Amino acid sequence: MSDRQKILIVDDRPPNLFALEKTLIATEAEVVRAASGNEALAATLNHDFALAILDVQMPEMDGYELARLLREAPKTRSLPIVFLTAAYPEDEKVIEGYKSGAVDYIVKPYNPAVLISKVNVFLEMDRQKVELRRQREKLAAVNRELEAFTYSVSHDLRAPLRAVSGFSRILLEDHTSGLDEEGKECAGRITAAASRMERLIDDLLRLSSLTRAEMKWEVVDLSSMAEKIASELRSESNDRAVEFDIMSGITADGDSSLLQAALGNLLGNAWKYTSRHERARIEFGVTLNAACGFPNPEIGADAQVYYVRDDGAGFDMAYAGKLFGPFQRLHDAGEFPGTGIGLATVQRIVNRHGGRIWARGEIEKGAAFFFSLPANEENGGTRDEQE
Amino acid sequence: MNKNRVILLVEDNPDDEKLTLLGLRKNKIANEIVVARDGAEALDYLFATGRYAERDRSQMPAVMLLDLHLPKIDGLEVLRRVRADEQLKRLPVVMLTSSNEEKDIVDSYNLGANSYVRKPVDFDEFSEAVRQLGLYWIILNEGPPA
Repeated sequence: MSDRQKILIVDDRPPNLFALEKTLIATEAEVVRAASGNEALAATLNHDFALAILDVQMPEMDGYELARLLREAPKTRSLPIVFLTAAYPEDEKVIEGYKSGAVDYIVKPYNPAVLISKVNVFLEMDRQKVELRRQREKLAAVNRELEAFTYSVSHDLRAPLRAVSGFSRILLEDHTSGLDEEGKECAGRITAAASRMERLIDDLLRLSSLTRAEMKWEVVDLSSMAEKIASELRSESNDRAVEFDIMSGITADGDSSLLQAALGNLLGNAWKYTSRHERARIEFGVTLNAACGFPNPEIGADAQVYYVRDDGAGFDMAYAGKLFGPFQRLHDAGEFPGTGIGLATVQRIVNRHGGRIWARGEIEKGAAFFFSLPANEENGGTRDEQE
Repeated sequence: MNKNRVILLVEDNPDDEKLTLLGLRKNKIANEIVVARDGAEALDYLFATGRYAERDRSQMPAVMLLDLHLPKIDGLEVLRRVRADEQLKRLPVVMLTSSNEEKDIVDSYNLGANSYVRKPVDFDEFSEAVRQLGLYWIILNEGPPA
């Protein structure tokens, strides 16, 4: 298939068609001629046009009537139309033309250079439209592939894992008499490793579904969300001396379940990484970028910045760049358990809201995570492209 | 009377097959267990065709444990053909799956699966499915060993 763009020219007089086609050679587009409205409509069935140039005065079907019919057919609904008229039309004719879908008028006799530059503008627009459609299709294909990949991970990766954990469990349950202490320990380690891998797969799948699920925008009460998360954390291990300092009345525009997951991860991390300290303090609040203590230069000084701060194990700023990568861990699993998916999840969620996330830490002094969630109306709700 | 009714296990993964058999045996299931390793073999058994041409078709299994992902003819297709058959449409079918993918679950219920168990077949889950299906009088536990 040729990639040459096509222009449809319609005129009932052959000399006009001939002259117009000759002029259009300079555009390098392929020209398809039609001597009447009916011929033009037939041509649209066999070709994809980038532009139609219509003579207004034709017997039987005039240019306006043809334009109206082109607008009604799905295939040519958005085909740009340029009318060629003998004289600049009166106002009411102009209006009639625009109603029938004209994009432009050119008055005869036309200056070929002007005509060509106008036509080139339309051709360029068409090229961009085609390119955009191609990108969209590519994106859709990538998304489909990703979905198939995720599905395959959840099925195919689990199958051998089931065997590993199933058989080692059977060894432990039914064949312990044949195993010495070391053998039992080995089987136990196999079982534990398999269930760790199962958790990893689950987390990974959750991460990928979080980034794909459609977002529902609403006003979310972050303060009460944080309070709820804090009391859940407390009820899990209530023997700890942790003081939560949650600012009241904080709201944000966003997807409630995504923000719940993000806040749950950040507060859960703070809870986890303060677990080796006798007393701890965890804060959640909002401030201005300029006042947050570690402003992000990529957003405005007066942008709202939410923060979760703790006085726990902290981290070495030298590794701050690794914090948000999936499976990246700055602490070993024996010290603080985890799969290394949490912050990657939080970052994706913040990104989907069009925001930024960054962090500051100091070893044994604590960590602070900052994130922005630009209000929905500022971006017209368009930052999360339809998937 | 019901003692001879077989449990038909349709499973292509030998590890999952072994785990399921060990699990059922450990829990004293007395029924004979017939294993089909793909959808075509399962249909041969059920419709008494191919290598099972000699089988008495009127003897329905007590229950079919059916993996969703099978070579040749997949689990959903097996289910579709079973439900389209006048006699087999009453056969209790428990789907086995390796994930909680919603689409699988919806698809198999739409096609008339009776229950759903995640692999490896956990005996408690299996018992629950059997109980829900009212099959406890067909699936026979041997008495505790003397």
